[in-house]
Amino acid sequence: MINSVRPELGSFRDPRGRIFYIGDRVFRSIAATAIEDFEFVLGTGLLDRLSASGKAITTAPVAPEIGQKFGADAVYVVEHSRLPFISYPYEWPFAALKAAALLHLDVQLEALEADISLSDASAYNVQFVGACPVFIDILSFRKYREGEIWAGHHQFCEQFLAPLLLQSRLGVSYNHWYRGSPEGISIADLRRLLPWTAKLSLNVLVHIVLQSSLQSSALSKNENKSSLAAAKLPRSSYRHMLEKMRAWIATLEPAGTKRTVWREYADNHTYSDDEVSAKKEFIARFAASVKPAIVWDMGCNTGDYSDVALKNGAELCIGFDADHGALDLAYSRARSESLNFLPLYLDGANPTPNQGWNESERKSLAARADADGLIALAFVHHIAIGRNVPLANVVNWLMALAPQGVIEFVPKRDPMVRNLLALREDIFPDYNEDAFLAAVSARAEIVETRSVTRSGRLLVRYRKA
Amino acid sequence: MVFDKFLPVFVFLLAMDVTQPALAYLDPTTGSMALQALVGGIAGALFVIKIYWLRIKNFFSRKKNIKTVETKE
Repeated sequence: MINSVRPELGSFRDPRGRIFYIGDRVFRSIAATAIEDFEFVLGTGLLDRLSASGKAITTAPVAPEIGQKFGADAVYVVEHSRLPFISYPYEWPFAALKAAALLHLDVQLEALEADISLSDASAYNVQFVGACPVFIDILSFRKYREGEIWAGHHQFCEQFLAPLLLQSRLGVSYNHWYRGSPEGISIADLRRLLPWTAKLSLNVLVHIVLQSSLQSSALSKNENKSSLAAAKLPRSSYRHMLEKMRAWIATLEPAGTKRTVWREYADNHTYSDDEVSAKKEFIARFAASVKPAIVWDMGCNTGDYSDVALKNGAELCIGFDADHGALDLAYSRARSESLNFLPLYLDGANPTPNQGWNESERKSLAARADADGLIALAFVHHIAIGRNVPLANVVNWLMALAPQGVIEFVPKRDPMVRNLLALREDIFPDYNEDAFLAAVSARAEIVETRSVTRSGRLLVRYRKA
Repeated sequence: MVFDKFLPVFVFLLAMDVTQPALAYLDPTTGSMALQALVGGIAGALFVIKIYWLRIKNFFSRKKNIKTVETKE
């Protein structure tokens, strides 16, 4: 089975090519209809330049005997470097979505210099290697035709611009909405929400108000489509639109995340520096002995412990948190310190499901769980007590994510758990250390435990057989 | 020209920010295409104005021609 060709179920929208896997290698078949554009793009050297600068995924032709496995439709087959983890725009924190938007525009501007345009502007065409965005859909490139319009403009507005504006103009996070609407946030909806003061901006007026109004007026007038299809945009205006959009997006900053609880947690937590050192030392020892290729840090906050894991033997860390302020700090730290670390938005009690066409286009978190190591510090009580999920279920769910890892148990006498229970009845008689240890040992061997705070927080390292 | 067709819409919009219900059977990129037709139209119009401005400038810089203009008018 290892040599069988497995199609990627999410790769079907563009009939000009498909993604396939053989073992853990990634291939793209290219159909006859795309060959002319693809060969033109190859001839310009754009793909090599973009991959050399880290802006696009590497693409290499494959040996003919591999190409034959893809059937008659595949006129050409290329191999891409494998991405360690696939994430989706609804999981990206603001700073990551912004970085992806800027990359998309940079790639497009560089392509235009080589007489190449992009056929779309899907946010799913960007992935992250560590915290760095990378463009992956090389079949979106095609020969630029003089006077053509920016074909992906509408998609760019709904998949990048509108979510960013929702956060920066209204202080509302886009992640839930985007997950429920994977094509992006409609500009008509955003327009209804934006206050009139936001519409004083010429950029908002043009790309949101005017665009959505032209859309509605075309609808009511049953506009003659052929006149639109023949619309011409001079090349200089095309480039100008991209440059202006880039300059605008570069100025967008998130509103309402400057002072979130968890962003300041690292400074205001309830335990001492000694206790922090003890936790860090435990994580360092775990990372050094396991040397995980990928470690998941559930409840990563600003990435302190991800950083420890990375500096002690972990190759890549994917962090998950539900606090936008902490995530933005974590992301900017990953970029500024060049950490191989990608912090993502996740509500642990409502993880990303399978969704999209046939519920297989965009994968669930569980379907993408191929971590070698897990860190879940101060995470369990938020789900077990904050969201009423039985303790054993939380432990089982976490341990299914990776074969070995470190999970922290925070007891009821800890000030943070006391806070969670301060205004509600304690309906958690089974939330205690013995029950926690029993749940862990039911699924794996307990390698090491250590009590790290005076309140009795316990770190447990497990290893599944 | 598409530009002409959408100019009243543009003016109307600036005066009144209204939204109409969306229906199916319309390509969601129609608004974006119309917007770019407008941008292209404006760019084209500016280009024409620039050309004429240059012509007028050239015309007046050649002093001997001033008289011709006056007689024509």
